[in-house]
Amino acid sequence: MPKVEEQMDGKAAVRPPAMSFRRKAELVGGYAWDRIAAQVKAVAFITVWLALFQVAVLHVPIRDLPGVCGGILAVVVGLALFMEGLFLAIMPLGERCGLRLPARAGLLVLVAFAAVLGVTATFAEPAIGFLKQQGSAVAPWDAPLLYYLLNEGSGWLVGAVALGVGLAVVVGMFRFLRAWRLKPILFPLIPALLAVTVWAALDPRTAPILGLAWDSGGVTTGPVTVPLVIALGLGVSRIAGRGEEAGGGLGVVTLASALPVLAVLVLGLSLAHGFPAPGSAEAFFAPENRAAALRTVGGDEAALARLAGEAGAVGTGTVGTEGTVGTDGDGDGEASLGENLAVAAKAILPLVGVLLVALVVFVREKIPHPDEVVLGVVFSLAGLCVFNEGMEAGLSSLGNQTGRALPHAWQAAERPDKAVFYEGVLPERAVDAVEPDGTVVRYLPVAGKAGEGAAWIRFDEARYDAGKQRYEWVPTEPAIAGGRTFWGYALVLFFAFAMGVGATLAEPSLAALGVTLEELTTGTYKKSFLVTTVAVGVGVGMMAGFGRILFGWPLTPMLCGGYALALVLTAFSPEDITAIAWDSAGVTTGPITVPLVIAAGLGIGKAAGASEAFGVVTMASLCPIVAVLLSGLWVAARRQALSAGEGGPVGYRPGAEGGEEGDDDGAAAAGEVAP
Amino acid sequence: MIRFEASKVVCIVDRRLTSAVEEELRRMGVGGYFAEHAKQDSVRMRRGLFGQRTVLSEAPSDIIRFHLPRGRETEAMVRVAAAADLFLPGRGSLFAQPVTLFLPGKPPKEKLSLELPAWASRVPLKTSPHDLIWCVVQRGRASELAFSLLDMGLCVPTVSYGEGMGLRDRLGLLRITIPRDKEILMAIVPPADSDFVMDVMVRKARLREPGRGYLCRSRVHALVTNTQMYRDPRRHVASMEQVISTLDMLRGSTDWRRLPYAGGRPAQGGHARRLARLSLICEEGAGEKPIAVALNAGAGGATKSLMLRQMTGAEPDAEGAGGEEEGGEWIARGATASHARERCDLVVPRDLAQDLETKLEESGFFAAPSMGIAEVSQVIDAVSGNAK
Repeated sequence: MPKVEEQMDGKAAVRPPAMSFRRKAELVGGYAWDRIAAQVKAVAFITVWLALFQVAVLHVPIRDLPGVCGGILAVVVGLALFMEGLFLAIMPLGERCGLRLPARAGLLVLVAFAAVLGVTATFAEPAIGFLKQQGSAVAPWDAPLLYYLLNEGSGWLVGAVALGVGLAVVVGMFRFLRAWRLKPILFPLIPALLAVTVWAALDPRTAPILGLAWDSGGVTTGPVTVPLVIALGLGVSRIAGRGEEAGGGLGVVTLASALPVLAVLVLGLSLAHGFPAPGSAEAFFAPENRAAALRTVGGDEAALARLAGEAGAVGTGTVGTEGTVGTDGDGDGEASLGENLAVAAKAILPLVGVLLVALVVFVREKIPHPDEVVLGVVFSLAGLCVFNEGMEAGLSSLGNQTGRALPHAWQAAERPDKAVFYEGVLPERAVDAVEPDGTVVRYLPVAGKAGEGAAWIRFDEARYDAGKQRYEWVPTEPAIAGGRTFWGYALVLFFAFAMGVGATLAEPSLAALGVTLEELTTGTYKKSFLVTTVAVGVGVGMMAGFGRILFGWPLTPMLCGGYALALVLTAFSPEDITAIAWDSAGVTTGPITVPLVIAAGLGIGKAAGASEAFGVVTMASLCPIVAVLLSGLWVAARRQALSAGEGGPVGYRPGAEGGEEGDDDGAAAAGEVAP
Repeated sequence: MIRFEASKVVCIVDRRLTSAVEEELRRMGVGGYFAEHAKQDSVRMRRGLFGQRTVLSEAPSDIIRFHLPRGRETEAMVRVAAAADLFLPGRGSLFAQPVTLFLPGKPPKEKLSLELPAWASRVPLKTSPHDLIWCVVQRGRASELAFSLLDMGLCVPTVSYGEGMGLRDRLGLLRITIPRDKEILMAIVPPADSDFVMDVMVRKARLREPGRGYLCRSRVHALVTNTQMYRDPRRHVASMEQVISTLDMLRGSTDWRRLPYAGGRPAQGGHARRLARLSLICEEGAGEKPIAVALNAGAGGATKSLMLRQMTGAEPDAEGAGGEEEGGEWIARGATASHARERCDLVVPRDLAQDLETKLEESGFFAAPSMGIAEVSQVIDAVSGNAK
């Protein structure tokens, strides 16, 4: 133990303790183990659920098991490092800026700082780059405006998102300083957002950008930005002194989710006039449509000619919104460690740089605990890098495997893992057979199992290797739930619910929000309660989103109905619960949930024949709002019931004992009560 | 630096009542107060799959502190208690403590309006001496301690959050491996029960072992103490807590309900005495320098808590004309624009406290831009595993 002398009588000071190496190792070991154990708990549910569902329900063995296990281990270590970095450096710096800037540097500097921070966060967010990369997946004739925004007009897109986030942070800071309540902001903002969405949905030119717009809102609130703006808001709201009335630093995430959506939709609507409506490739390249087509490719004649040349080969490309959501990791290939480190550095260093400049230049204050800050930044960099590596090899890979096998729940599916290779096969041995509908299918006679004689297997030219005279036969198994039945769909929806719950339990931004809330409420609003409520909300949202893919439900009415319900509940909820609920929507769409949603959504979307898989992330953001608001109302009702049981308003309030105020002399009263 | 003898009034209320208290402070002419988030613990029965069990119930609360000229605290407490209806059990506690304040400058004249309502003359309202036991433990340990106190029917504890400063900060970067988060448990108990309650807390929290935390005891004058230990639906026209409150009022003290074993079981030895509690109040984030001064002067450690300086809207008296009192209201009104404050509490020998006042003044703690406030109160005794 460190040597401490006479703490109470104070005759001697506390000496700097001399510690043995073993004691230091014990301290560091205990510290590391606590953080690792917390992340093991967080990641355990989703890992076990995905593995168990794949192996026990879908009967598909896990491919590359050592790689997946290593990846999951990296996710755990990465999350532990990243979270510690957040708590050591990024959040304290953000809170310090919030505490010091308004008082020391003035309102104008604060507004400029907030705007710069918002814009930096947008450019730093790796997901923005991910949105831009989707340009290659969109065919210009399928969604001309979307193609433009993701390619030549990507500057407009990023600018609109940056404007939205910057404005959100500025409005958020004003909200804390002036004690603006969140409800009067939400009540006009959300209906306006929905109205613009409906407007955009009704116009065929802007309808394809809906998915992009709503996803833009989700991706800007990433794992670095969310904790940072929460900490910043916490600081500013403490300066203003009315923390609980203004939601104690919450609400910026809500604005940073909603305003970019609005900005992108408004951008789309304002640009739409010069663009053609979606149609066929022939119509797009038709001479009378040349001006509009040129605008789609940014006026580049060469690009238009190249596209026209490729049009025949490309055919009908993927509709843009699918490109936004429906890209699995396989197509992109895995990023190297260096690339992941670069992504992590891009996400963290610019934001930390803005905070440090603000503190040193404008506040003119020494950085508190610089050694902790440096260590925290290193931890978050290393953590995010290792986490991204782990996600690719571990959880995303597992999610992709499960997602691909998921349609097997309600439809017959091929089993590549049970493939059999037949050597020395000659195609002419295959025999034509006629199906009842007249189509001709080829079958190959093969030897069956021992004692069973010959068997016929279907012959597919694509699986025949003429060089080696080898044929790969992939058996097809019937649906787990026996066809496109209620139980098949129910199984998929239940999987989606549990996956949503599991992924949310592991989300780092939500954990950071939970810790902040617990601190803010002295533990009366437990982190576990928030995480569980949000997880259930995300689970229900996932069910709704997957239900939409499976059954083709229209998104716009679902969005409008869901947000209308959320607004009604908001009207009856206290201000602090409102801020928590709406902020939780932004934090759920994090680095664990989104890849898993993409993997599973793509698998189901392809099998169900859905034109696009957009909507799952949006519904997974919407439902937690409703869940948290409902839980808040339930807790308030229970507290009210307990209070009612304690009795009526008795006591010695003025006039309660029958005496009128002022009928007696106050001086005598003062004499009576003197101690 | 100006020395000012004052009374600190502490009001622990359910958060839903904070606005009522603030409004009454405004009516009384108290311009500002310090607010700290806390929770008041009680227990309730929860029905589950495997039968009933007793669980801890935590009510979000605020600790409201304001300063008044010595001698005016009782009227203020009666007014606040009436406004927030604190005589109803379960709503909160209200007590006052004499303190010596060290301020950056002379407080302005304040116009305090502390007239009591008519009904107050017809009921036996008076304060009674109580002991405030203030216990700092590692984060997460206070719930267990609170449950024990409630389960034994001793008192309703109030828990707030804090951060430890001192020894941890001398470890270099290795300090990050030691959690700084603390919980502060406050228990207000009649003096007759105080030894027993303190003994229970020392044993349950194992405070005689190094690194477990510490505890100190001060004398306060309480008008109302929260007695609502169980939060269950009422089954009679009055709850047991209401009956107890009424008896307290009729008997004029809480002595009638002293524990049968109180006094028969003296607490173990090893209590440090002749101590003072020094609370340094400054802008949030500015506490590290004065704490370093205190630690270098020989203080063992400090506990930092975050507070908000809240303004009630009461105007200070212009130029002091017509002002009744020199009030401590200025203290909360403060000199900087920020409302964020931190309070660093140190328990030190009385001699050292006097020495520290000088050293803090020399370090510029009371001057701009820090404009800190130091508050010194008497401590009866303290227990810590780190003390000899």
